[in-house]
Amino acid sequence: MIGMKSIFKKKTIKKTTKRRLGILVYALSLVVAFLIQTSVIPLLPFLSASPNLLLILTFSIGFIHGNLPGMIYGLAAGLLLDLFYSGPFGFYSLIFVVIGYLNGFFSNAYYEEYITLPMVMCVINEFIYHVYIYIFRFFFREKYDIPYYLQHVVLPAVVFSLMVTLILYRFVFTATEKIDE
Amino acid sequence: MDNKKSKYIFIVLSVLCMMMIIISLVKDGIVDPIRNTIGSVLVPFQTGVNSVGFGIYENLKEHRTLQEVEEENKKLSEKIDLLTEQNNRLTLDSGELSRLRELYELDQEYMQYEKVAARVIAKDSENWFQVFRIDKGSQDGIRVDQNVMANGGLIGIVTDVGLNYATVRSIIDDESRVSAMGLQSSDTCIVAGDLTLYEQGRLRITDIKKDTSIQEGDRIVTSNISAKFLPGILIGYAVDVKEDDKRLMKDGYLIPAADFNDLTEVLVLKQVKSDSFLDENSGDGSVALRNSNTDAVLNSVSDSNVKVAETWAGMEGLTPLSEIDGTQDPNGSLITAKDIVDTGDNVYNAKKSDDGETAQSGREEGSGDSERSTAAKKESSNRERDTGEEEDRETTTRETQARETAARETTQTEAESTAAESRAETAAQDNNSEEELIEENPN
Repeated sequence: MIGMKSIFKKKTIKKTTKRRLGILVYALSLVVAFLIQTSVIPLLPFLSASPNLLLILTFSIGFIHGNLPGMIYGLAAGLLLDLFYSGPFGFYSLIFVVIGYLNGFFSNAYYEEYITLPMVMCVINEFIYHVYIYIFRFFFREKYDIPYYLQHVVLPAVVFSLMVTLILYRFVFTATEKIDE
Repeated sequence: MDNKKSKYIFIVLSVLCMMMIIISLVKDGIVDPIRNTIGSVLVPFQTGVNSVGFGIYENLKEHRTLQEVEEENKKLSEKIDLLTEQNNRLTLDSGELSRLRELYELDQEYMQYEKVAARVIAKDSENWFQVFRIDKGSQDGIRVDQNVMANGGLIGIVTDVGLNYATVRSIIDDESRVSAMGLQSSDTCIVAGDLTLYEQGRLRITDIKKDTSIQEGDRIVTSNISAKFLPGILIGYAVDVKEDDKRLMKDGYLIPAADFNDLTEVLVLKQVKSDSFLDENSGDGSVALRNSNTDAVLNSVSDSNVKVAETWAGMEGLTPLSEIDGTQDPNGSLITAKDIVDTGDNVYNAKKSDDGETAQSGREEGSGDSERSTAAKKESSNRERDTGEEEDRETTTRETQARETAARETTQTEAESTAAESRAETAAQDNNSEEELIEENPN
């Protein structure tokens, strides 16, 4: 947050209000995505897998806006999930911060209409995320059935997330454009 | 410059997260206040979003063709005929069953556990974990370790409670392990959730002893030695029971009785297994405590009837393990003393004050007896919450029994002792006969 403040000082007042609007929009999107992810999609019995909307939003923002916003958004998303689940606190925050930060490095390679790179990033990010969960929650309990987990947990999640990325990435993209206008 | 700064922030945040993980792992429940606050704010939204989502889903389901509905109607009316016939038969059977149950005092059947209905409002979005959240929390009397049921089968256990929500871990979650037993043979085993079996709708049964007779199709229920699950709740049916590779134990699979795919409403059992454990463990201590209390009462009320209560209190400490369970707490059985002595209101009063003082002195005893006092508090709060239905049934059955024995007893020993003493004996005998009955029925 200190970093954000120093950025504010450098910009003009007009830009500050824009930035505030942006933050508001993203904060709202965070809560809405969280609610949809936990309370709507998993309860529809015909869906076997559900996309991790918060993960997609985190890496999209990291990718479009850079490390710092990605990291902060990741922290917020991770904290929400940590507060929701009763496991060790900080488990999700850590991976979301890491993902937000790492994706920020690719913001140099960001072109406006270029969708292939985000898709590739989506697959990689999902993979990192699931490996993280597997290692810390399953591998240490001596569950080694990796092919099964890959096929039945990771693959559906990745495919679903890819489809949703198409929509959500567009959302972040247009939101950025609208705010910048 | 900016890059370097965000690098530092990244390191700081990561270290912070790791520290939080470690702290929360070492010190359990340290973040609960924060979780509760955020949870209380978010749950109304979740409930709202959830009901909107369900509304849409239900709407979609409603748009079916007339033909489909008519077909279904035909099928259903056929089914109704069948069910009516079955129902008639079952009503007869259940009448018989209740009579038999009264006879054997099988009150510990899970049918008689008090339940709260709750809605599922959120689930883990990933397939890794089978955890969900319900819309009832501590303000509705939900506590950690309460068992959760649906469609007549065990669903899971409450792991986390907030003001207006609770988190439940399903028994199909990979980390779940339930101590269970076969209903027919009462051989113990472990029912473990397994992610790799989840899509087949199965769980794993392990640790069946080699010489036991658990077979395919056997009903598997929660065992009475489980630390967290109340005894006798149906989990599912055993299939494919075989010897394992080392030929030391038997392994198998379990098909759960509850449907986990379409969970919308669940029932939470209000009783917690550890309550009855606390009663048991403090058994030895409670004798002394109780006796001293009754002594105090004796001084104030010099009535011979009090002796009955005292004897009862003494008996209580010796109550066998098998007899103590959720539905009949040892204090509850004290009521029988009142029933035996129909006219003696004093005993009831004495019992009441005794109870109150136990709780009080338990609190005063401090750290040593803190467990005891919490148990007493829980008990009393439990009793307050009880609808009375359960207890009523219990007392009436006991009453009749007690009266019968009392009648028999008085004819036999009329001459040799005072009325109060014979009453005390009756109580003792009553207790003994109860033990026998329960020992005969291991289930």
